[in-house]
Amino acid sequence: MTVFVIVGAALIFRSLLRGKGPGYGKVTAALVLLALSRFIFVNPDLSGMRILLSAAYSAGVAGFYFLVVSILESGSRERKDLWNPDIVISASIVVAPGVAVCVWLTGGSMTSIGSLALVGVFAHGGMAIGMLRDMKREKSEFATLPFISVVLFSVAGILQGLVLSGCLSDQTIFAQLLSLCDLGALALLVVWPVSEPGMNNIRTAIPASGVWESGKLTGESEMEKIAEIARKSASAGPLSDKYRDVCASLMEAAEADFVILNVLMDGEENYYATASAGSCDEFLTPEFSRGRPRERFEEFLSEESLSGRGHTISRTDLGGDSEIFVPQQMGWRKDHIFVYPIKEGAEVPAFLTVGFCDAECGLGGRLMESYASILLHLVKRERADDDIRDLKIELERSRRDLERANQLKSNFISVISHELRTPLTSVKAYVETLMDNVTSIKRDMMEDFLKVMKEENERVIKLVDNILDYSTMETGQLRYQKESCDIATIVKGVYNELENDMLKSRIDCDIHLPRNPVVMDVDRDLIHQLFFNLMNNAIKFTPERGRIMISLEEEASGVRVIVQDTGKGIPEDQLERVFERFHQVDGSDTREHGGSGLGLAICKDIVEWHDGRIWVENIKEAGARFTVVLPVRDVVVRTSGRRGTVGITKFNRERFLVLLVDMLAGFLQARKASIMTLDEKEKVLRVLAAKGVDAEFVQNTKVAAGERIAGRVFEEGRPVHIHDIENDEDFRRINNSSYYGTHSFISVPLKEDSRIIGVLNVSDRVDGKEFSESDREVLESLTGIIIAMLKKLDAYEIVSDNFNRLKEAMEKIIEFREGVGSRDLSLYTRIAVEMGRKLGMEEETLAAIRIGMNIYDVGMMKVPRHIRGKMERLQEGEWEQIKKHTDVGYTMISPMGLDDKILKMVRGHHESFDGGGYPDGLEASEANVGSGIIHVVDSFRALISQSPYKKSVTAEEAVAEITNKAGVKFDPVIVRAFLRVVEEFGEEGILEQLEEASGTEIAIKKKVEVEEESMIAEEKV
Amino acid sequence: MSDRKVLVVDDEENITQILEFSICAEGYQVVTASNGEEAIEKARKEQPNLIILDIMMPKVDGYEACRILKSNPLTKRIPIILLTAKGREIDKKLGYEVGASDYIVKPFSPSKLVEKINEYLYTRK
Repeated sequence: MTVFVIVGAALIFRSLLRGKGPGYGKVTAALVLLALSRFIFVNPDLSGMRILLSAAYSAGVAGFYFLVVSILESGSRERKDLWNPDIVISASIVVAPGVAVCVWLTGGSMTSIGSLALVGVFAHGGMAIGMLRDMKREKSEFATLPFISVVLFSVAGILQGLVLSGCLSDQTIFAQLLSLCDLGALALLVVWPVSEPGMNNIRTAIPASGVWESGKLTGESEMEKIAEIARKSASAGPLSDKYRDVCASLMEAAEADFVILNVLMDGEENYYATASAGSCDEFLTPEFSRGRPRERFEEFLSEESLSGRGHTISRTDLGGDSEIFVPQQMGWRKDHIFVYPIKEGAEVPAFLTVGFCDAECGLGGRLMESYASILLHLVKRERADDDIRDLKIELERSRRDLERANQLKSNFISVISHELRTPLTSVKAYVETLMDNVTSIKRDMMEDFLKVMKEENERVIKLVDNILDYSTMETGQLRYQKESCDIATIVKGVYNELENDMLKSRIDCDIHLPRNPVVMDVDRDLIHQLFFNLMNNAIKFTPERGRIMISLEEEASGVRVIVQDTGKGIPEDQLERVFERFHQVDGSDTREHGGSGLGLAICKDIVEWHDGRIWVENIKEAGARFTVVLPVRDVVVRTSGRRGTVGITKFNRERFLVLLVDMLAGFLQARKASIMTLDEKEKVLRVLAAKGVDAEFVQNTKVAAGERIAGRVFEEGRPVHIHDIENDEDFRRINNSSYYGTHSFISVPLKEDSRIIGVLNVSDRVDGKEFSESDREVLESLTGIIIAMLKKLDAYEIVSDNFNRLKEAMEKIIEFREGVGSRDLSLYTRIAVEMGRKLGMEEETLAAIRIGMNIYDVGMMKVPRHIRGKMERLQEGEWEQIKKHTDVGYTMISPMGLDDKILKMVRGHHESFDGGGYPDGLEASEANVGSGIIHVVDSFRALISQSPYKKSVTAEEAVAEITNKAGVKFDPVIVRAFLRVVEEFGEEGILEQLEEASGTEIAIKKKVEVEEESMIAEEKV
Repeated sequence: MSDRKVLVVDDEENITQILEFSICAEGYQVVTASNGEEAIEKARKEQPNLIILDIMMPKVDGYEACRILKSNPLTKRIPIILLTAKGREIDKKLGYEVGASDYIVKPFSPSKLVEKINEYLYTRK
């Protein structure tokens, strides 16, 4: 009895001292009363106090009920409702013996007492089992002390029930045990540490098993600090400051030397040290701050090693990995660090490193969790901010697009209303006149009328068709199916359809198609419509007795179709706008040509669907020349399934890789090209992006070291160059995959320092020839750029501006190559390389020239088309813009990581021998022989090409012109080399090829004449 | 055959043809032109009693032709009916401002146009 009073008093005293709110006091008081009443109940000596017992018991039951409720609630977060069935059952179980006691006190029958008491027995047992089950299911962590306390109470309750029901007599050892259990439970409550006042303390304290041991951290002031930090972090202001504030606060609270917050970025590839506090700050190198790969942490952050909570790691455990957690130069004050994962579901988007500490530092627990949740909130906010930023840009863009579309639409309505009214007016006028005169009109007149009506009716139908076509295309409803078609046949078919129209207008048409079929995967109907629109347009704008030229060529990137007319051309400022929908070059009342303004817009859409390009330029003394380039096959990028988080979107990443592979294939004149990189986790090579192969192949191919060609190249670190795979002893056997279904093949390793990070493959030359040694040389010198670019892409250095610059550089390179035509470009490149060889250059420099030749005029692509396409004399300002193109090109490609020699060639290819060139006015020197060579070849190209500036001259005239300028514009030594090469090439007939391609018009005419002659000859036979 | 002459100007040959048919049927003479420039020249030379003038034509448009005709003493007395696809109020207003006597919007009814022509040619007898 005395012990009870002491323990009860201590407990109540404690509750008064520490707990401010009513909840805690009430519960403890109730529990004390409950226990006391039981004690009285089992001691017959004290039976005089039965009234007191009854009251105490009732109060005790109520208190116990609250305890049970709070424990159940903390065990299962959803159970907010006090009348939840589980709780009610548990409570009734507790209440039942109480009622039994009351019945017994008032002298009720033993049967009812016994049954109620038995319910109580089961109830107590059920409650204990239920709690254990909840713990297991919810994985929630109950505090050990209160749990034992509850169990002891339950045991006491069971014993009480047994005594009541008469199974046990009052005096047995069990009755004594009952009181001991109660006493134990109460004692445990005394030592149960409680930090917060009120009912809440029970809830919050229960799951905090690993509560921070340090007294400072469990106090109220710490809670306030957290609340303060949480408030601060929710306010406006730069996120970086907030990260730092939270880290600093945590460091102070944990009495640590430093805290580092590591956040997963880069499409979830690397952990960045996003914020830190303390002594580590001065040691944080940029290398440490960014790009520590996720894989390296996996061992330390995995579910097994952490079991969801932080843990200490010793320096010895980390071994070589210590520098991924702690900057290398930093000295370890103690032997351990504490690592705490900030989790979101199963993901670990960030983790904290706190140091230094002892093995048993006792960090973690509730307080750490609070800091972690604030930080997680910040990380999520940052990600959301990035998304919002992207969305804003996107929104602004679409707003502008909409405005533009709106303007075009009103333009369209005015144009279309005229176009529709004209034929409708005719139909109406003719129909009415015919009706009015139906009896009197002569038969032939009537026929005339009907003919007009039919024609006008068809005009309306055609127009409406056109509009419908466009609107279905615009809304993407048009289902298009790619199938293998011969483009040449389609072009020929369109030509036949339009032949009559041309005859009517007495227009000559020169059509130049290759003898062999040009098979590509395209949508037949769309491509037919594309060429129909282009040729129809050409006919419309060509005056009587004019001429139309159509040519089709196959080349590296795909197929090039040119449709050229002898109309009056297109005003320079509209060269790009003609492809806009509803745009009419002549939108005035006095325009001569009708049309919906949709034809070319449809063309552009069709071409873009096939991932091709279309553009128009004016030809001096001719008309407009439309060029369509349709790529053979798209570049496929393997999707990694990881989400980009910072700086770069998935779309941009893909676009970047597409350009990279396109460029690679273009430089090597290869139909197929691929970049493979090492998958660090699986230790196999995987395709990053590829051109000319199936998407499935790209997605699923895995090549282990030593396997197949790529695997061998990877393992041995040496390039493999196969001239003809069918006759190659080594590789014939492994040529079993669809990718290597090829004759000639080069595969080179991507070496970074001495580490091999991947493999570049090219195969299948466009012209069907074998890859040469010089091709291999070029591919090897391209590895530098590819590695640099991939590294930038991986490290996400390519953020916003920088990325856009690189992307633009690659786009412009492709544009330049397409503009010249890759067949021509490769011929000019051969001339340049041969010149270099004659001048005794090394293979490495020759490779640089080859790359240089592929990109040297890239800056020109930045000069607006209406200036570079201008037919008249250039104005002063325009000429200045043209002159800037070398410098512009240089700036554009400098971030690509190209060899310095190549950069110099791009910058210096307009420098003159006498120092009168641009941009730097340099005189000829040893250092810029490469640019001198390109200068000569470029001038030669300019002279024999039919460019907007002037009419072309013959190769002979061009050579003479260059010889004249030797010693002034060009280095005489280089010109001598040029003359020797030209002589050799002349014998091979290469010059004629160039002349022919450049002066398309003349060449086509000749061909047609020859064909006609042979046809006439056949007929005669 | 009446000696009254109507000048029909339109760049659409079908329109001039049907107008010629309908107007001839009424017994008037018809002269045609296919653009503004030609219209001005023919108006001066042929001195028609009425001009039917389209607006959207190559070279010189209908408004401009109307203005020129109305500013030339030789032709300014000839009434002009504008016959056009431009149907907005503002277009009509502009038409009357440059001196047109009437404004008919396409698509039009030939019989109504002929009635209108009759009106002009009778009242001005």
